[in-house]
Amino acid sequence: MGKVDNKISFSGGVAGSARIFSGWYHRHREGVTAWLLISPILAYFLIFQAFPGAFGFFLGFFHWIGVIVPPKFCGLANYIAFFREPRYLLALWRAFYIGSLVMLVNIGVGFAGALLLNLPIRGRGVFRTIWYIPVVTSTVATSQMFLIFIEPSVGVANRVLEQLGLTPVVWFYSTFWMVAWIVIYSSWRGIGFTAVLWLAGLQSIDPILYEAAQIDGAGAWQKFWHITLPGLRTISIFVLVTGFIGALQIFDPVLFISQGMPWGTTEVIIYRIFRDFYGDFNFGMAGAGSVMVAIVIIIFTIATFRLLGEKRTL
Amino acid sequence: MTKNIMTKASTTRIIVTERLKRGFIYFILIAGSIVFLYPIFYAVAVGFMDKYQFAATPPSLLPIPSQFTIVNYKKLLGVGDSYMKYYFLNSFARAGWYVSIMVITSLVAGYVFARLKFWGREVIFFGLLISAMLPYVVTMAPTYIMMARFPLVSGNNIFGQGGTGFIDTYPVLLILGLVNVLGIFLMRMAMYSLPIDFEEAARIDGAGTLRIIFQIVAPIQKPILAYIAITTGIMLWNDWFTPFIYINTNRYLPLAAAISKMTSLAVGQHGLPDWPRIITLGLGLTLPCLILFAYFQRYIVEGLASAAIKG
Repeated sequence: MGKVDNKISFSGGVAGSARIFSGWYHRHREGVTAWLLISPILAYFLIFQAFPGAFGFFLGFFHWIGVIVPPKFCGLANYIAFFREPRYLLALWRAFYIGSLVMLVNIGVGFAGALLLNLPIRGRGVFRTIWYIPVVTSTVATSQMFLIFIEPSVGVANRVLEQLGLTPVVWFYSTFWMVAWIVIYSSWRGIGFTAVLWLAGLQSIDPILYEAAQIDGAGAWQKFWHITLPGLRTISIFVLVTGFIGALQIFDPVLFISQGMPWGTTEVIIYRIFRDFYGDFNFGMAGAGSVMVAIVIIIFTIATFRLLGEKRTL
Repeated sequence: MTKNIMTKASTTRIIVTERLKRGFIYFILIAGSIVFLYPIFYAVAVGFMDKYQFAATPPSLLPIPSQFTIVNYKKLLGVGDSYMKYYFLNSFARAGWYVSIMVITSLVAGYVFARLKFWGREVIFFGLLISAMLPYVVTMAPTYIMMARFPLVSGNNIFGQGGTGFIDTYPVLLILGLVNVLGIFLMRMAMYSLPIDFEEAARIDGAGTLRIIFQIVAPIQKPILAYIAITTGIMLWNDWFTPFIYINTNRYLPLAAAISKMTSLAVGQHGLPDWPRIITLGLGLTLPCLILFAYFQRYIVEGLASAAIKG
């Protein structure tokens, strides 16, 4: 008891201004705690993540080559160059079509895979694990494997063609095949991810709906068309948006497998920006390019949400 | 009603088509599995060759070395390559550091955004989400400049002039991108689906907010925290990009970045690249992830599913 008395008398003895403060503190206790907990995270975030983001938007307005050289303001010159010089728009277009190919394969094969992996068969768990394995592998380790497969002297791909009685292909000098290999690699790595997303969607559909349809005498196709597909609406937005954002940023396989070969026809936009930034240290141009990519991605994301009529934010 | 009365022939026909269907399903699943696992088998086989043998052997789908040599695997474990221990150590240190920071920040921030009411909550959270939607290229160049011009680091003065800043220093591997917005988002979602009763009971018993977060909420939210830990761990273990652009000193490189540097050199250089060695290193990079994934895959798949459906 003595302890409690002591405490009361102590807080009662504090001077007037402190009492006002303690009253304020008691009214806003939750907010103060929240801000105390969140402010270190927020401060870090503002310095290391928000500031570079904002800085990136201004970078495009400067002529800035090399870290040492002081930047020169050049207005919209970098942005004009982005639209004037065909290689940027071409690179954007390439990212778009290579990315779309990857996305089509991923979504299609991933969906078929998810349907199969959702069937009640033996060894389902093992198959799910194996299909997901490429997703957790490093792009560094696996894309160099694909590079070795198409290597002219030691590559397996040509050997297989020979054994099938076909003429070997010089992969590195064929635009079609380089694009194909990038798509093959990206799909190899991405199908498992998309399949698990579709799987999650399939499992979120209430089984009662299928039972009800069974009682009403619906066939397998009708069930698929009227229950499965509408039930996958939410997940399909997620798959589309993340798939497209990821596909447009296709970069690792280009850097490790094709390096823009042949004749720059697989040079995608992120690879172009990376070359501006890390090859030429042309920060202004890299900044302008990044801003354009960000705008494209934001427009696409908003458009998808609008088109598919989802009201939620994100 | 005629449907129920089956003749023997139609029953066998149904059984046969069922079997065919099942066989077809297994065929596709197994074919897919072979495709997904093939590079790993190939890598294991090639790892047993040296580079001359690899170049001399005619390529085949699964090359069987005529003489087995384990020099590549020995090198992977650090025998005859003094840098390997740094590569592994750096990878472990980096992944461990990021995992612990991201799990704690996701837990605390996710709880705060879900449960506490405070001024500016919605605005701050919306800002975080927007920044997470931006592609990482947007901040690639500006972050590099900021790191190079960071005040008072490596000979830089207060205005960030004169030195090299964080370029090619060890801390740059540990200070970038520490806030995992997706983790905070998932944690917040998970908090919303948790009844508030536990926390209120604890608060009545006199527990403070930190105590509630770490002793009440954290054990309950173990699955989502495990998901955040495993995915960030694998992501950081596999991340080659940041070290690739910031680090030139071999001793500071994590394994993934070391491989990326070797690969990009191997493509450019003339002569015979040591593919078996690079492949073996890639295998050494992949295997820990595979083991971790095989062990925790339930968390990963469930976490991804909940992220996809709720997010």
